[in-house]
Amino acid sequence: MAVAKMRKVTIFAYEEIGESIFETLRDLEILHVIKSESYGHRERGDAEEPEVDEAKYNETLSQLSAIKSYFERYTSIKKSFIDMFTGAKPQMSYEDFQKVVARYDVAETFDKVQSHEKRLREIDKEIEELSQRTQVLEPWVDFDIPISQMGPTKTCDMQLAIVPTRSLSEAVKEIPLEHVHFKVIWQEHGNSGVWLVGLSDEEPSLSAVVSAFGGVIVNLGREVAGYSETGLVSDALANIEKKKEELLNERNAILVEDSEVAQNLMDILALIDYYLDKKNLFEIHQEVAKTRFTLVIEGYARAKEIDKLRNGLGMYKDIEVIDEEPGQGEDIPVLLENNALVRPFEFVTNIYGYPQYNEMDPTPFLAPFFWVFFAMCLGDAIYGIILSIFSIVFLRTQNLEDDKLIKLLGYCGISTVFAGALMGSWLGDLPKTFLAGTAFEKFTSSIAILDPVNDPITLLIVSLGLGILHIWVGIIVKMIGTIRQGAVVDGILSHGSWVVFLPGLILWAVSQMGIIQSSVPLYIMIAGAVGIMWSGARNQKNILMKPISAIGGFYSMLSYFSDTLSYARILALGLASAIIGVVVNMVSALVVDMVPGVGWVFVPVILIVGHLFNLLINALGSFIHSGRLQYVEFFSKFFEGGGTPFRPLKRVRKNVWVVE
Amino acid sequence: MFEGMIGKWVLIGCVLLFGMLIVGLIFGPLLGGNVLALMGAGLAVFLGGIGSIVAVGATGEKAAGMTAENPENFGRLLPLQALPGTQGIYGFLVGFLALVKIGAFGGVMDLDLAQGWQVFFACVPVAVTCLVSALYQGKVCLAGMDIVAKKPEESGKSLILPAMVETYAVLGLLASVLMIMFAVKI
Repeated sequence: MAVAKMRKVTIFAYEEIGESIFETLRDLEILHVIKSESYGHRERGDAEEPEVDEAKYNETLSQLSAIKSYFERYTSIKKSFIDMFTGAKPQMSYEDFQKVVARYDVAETFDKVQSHEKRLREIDKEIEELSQRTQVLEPWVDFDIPISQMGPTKTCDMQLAIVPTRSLSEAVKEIPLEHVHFKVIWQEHGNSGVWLVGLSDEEPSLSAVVSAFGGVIVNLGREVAGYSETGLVSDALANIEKKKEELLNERNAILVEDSEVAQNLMDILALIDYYLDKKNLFEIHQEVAKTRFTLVIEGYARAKEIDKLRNGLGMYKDIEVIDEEPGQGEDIPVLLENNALVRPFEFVTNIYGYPQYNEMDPTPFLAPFFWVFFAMCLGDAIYGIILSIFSIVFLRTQNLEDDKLIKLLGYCGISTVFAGALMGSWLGDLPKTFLAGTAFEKFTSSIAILDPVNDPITLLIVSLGLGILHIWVGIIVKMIGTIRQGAVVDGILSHGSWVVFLPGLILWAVSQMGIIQSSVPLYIMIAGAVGIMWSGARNQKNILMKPISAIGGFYSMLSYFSDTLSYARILALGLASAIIGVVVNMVSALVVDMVPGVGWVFVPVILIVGHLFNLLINALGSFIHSGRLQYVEFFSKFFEGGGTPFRPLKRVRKNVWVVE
Repeated sequence: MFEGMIGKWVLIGCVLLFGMLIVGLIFGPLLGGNVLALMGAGLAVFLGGIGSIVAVGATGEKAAGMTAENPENFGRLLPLQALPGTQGIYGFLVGFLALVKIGAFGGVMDLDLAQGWQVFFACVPVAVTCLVSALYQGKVCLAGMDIVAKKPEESGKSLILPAMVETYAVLGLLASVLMIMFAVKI
């Protein structure tokens, strides 16, 4: 129930077995390795060989990530919608993992992937180019003179041209065409493809004719080149088509092959993890102290696990493992250790941070309050049942790295059932709306003692009361912490007097209202007040200022007061979820009358969607605001935080979860 | 871009609020108490709504961009987008409570001018606090998304910071609810 005891561990070993030791430590997952300070770093530069190693890992990793993104075009690791929230990773057995690492040739696959990628690009480019040729040639398909014969001969000139169709009929009248013969080959989109023959020596020349038409001479020689032995456009088109077919077939073959190879995406992911792990170990290896032949690994391990660590390292004969009590002023990593009941609440603590090593773990103190606050904010029995069932099902079906949050939701579900039952809220006021007069309705209203909607003041008082209790516990924890650190007088005077004063004040207020008849609360309050004034005046040297400092001791009262008011949010959130629940029921009841006859059909739909929405949005709100009450109102009383989390050396599991 | 627009949206909210006030002051006797009460209920719903729409829109835009880059973060970003959405719900809730109070669902709706104004003003706290807090909470959520991007393992912290802004919407809600339930005499 606290911060786990740590031992400082120092391992001396020969440099040559260093890599193997780090691998063993990684598999043990016990030692939190720290960067060496006391032994100083080895100068960079005299460690040339390892630099090469690092470059090699980096190269392999970049090859792997290229392969990965190439493979991901063909296939992907299926992830369910839920996995997006849990961050679950695909699993792989240890044997498979070992096999992959042993046999997979990364460089070979990388070369293949690269050449495929290059070839695919080439093919695409070629097909693109062929398509352009086809586009140009297509209209001329019926032209039955080889393209190679176009151009001037001794006496004649032959050309192909594209001219606007409109100008054909108009321009003919203006241009003398006695020596020119032309024939329209195709007409499309207002343009015409024209074949022209004319005498070479006569004016006007063919080019003059074409420009008079407002057209251009086209030379199809380039498009036909290489694809038509006869020089005919139709042949060229057929050949281009054939070539395209071939290229497409080649492309398909590559794609089929790749999509087969890409099924090994898992292997690639595993390999990425493997090399990341190698790199990680390598970097840590670089960070520890070493001399020419020896290696000094420093770190922390849980006191409980020291024997396990020694056993795990037992196979190495020539190493020395020393464990000692950590010294003052060291940055000792923190691991929270709580029993199964409290452990899920570590999630709440961890959002804020970790306590210092010599501080108390706040988790056991915040756990009951978080449990209750969440319940009161959500405040619906059925929502609680849904949360608990969800938690159980989720834990059973999903393989989670960290199940604290889900367990926490399950626990809070249970408290929500109680809170909901006490407030008479079962899916809002569903029993009253739809089940009036049934045994269930009678049962639910018989156990309800609070009605947040019609009597919010009672709930407000309960909320503020819980708030005062929460703050009071915070001060007690602070007092205990101060005493534990040796400042007994300070602890009792500064904090203890508040611990006495606050309940005295409240009881006194209650007695003033005439609810209890006793003067004892007054004495308690006065005793507390005297303590507060004493502690305020104690550190003031100036006699004249002492009374002012004594009164100043009550200054904290202001912040306690405003902190207490903050707990009104419990009521507000409780009201919000309760009233939205009521609204959903009301709307679904209204629908029954609105759509005569078949209105009942819509009722379950509205109820399910509406209540699910209410549950989701309010569970989020309840969680966050219950958390805030811990961080801002509760932690500010005693908690410092800022500890370094305990992170033992572990296998890198970024993409794949390797199971033994 | 969104950050620069907050002032504009708050201004639009104020124009709506004062527009209704002026309409009520001038035409109140003509319109009657029922209309004043309905104006209040409407104000709560749409000022809260405007704040949430704008903020959820802006956060959603960023979340979508970040999910495109790293789909793994989707689960962490979704709550951050949803956070400024609660103000719209609070506004709706008060609007609904006001409707229940004035007897819109069965019962006779017959409010005099004073009662109409009471309902109207009971709706104002939640309307204004929700509008402003949703916009600023959206801003904090946008910043919080950077925590998710840079330190995904710390993303729990990005949820707590926006909750501080929401406090005042919660208090506005509480004030309006208490006013409608106890202060408004019908």
